[in-house]
Amino acid sequence: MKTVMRSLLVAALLLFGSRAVTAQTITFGSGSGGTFTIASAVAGQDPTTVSNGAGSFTTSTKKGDGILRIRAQLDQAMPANTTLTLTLTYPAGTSQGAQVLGITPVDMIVSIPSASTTRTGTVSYSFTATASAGVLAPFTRNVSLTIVP
Amino acid sequence: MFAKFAGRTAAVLSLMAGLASAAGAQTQTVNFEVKAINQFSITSTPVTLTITTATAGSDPTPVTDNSSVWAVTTNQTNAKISASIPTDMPTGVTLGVQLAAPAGATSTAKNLASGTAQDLVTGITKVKGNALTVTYTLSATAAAGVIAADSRVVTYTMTPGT
Repeated sequence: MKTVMRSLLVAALLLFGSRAVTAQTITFGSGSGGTFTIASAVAGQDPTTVSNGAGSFTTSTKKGDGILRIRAQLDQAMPANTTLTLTLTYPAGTSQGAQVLGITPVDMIVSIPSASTTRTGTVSYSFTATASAGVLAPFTRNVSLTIVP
Repeated sequence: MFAKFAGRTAAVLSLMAGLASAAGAQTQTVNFEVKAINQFSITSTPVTLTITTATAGSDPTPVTDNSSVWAVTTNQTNAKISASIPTDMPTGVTLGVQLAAPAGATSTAKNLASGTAQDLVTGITKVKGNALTVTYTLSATAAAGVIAADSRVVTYTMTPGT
């Protein structure tokens, strides 16, 4: 009897819990954000910035998730005198425009209203390096997108 | 019993919380590289230098022109700029040139000659420089005499660093 009660309670918790974990999700359209190679400059100017076109990401949210925001960050800092700038477009909320990424999360989209829906946005990057950055062998950074209340 | 049950419940909730956290984030890998860059430009507008005067007892007065500018970008170390002319100047006449150096580099005024290029700016390292002055100086001794209009094409070369 006790075992049955216990099982019922656990089952109830899981059921209740599964409703509580109607967590919003966010998914990149691709695991790769692309390859950025700076290889030219106009004399007298810093090396020419390289950018890529729009990748994509998808969010899934539920009504009741509250007001959400999408944040972005890197797994480690960029080398000195280089920057990675991220721009997201998204059909809801307020875009914060192009943001330079670092290891501290930055808001990309804020004030996303609660809704049970799937939305798709675009992702584009720009990579800049000053002359003083020097020559840099190939390296990678991981960009994380997070959708949070 | 309650403690045991509570422990299991906490474990279940913890697992659920972990799943919720993972579901709200995703990672994408971005690849980067910066290749060696060495870019150099200089005004291509012709420069005219005419010697017309002298102080009595001295050689004719040299003339200078600093209407030209140059620019450079390098992300390497110890690049340099050198220059040469295709044929020597007439006897008794010298054409000097000096390029203003970008930050951290060294500029040296040189008289141009055919053959070996003269190093004008050395130690150009991970820098950009724009609108840097180019100064030409034409000198002639009295012995050079009167020289009809002539020209030289100055060829500048940028040697990448490391």
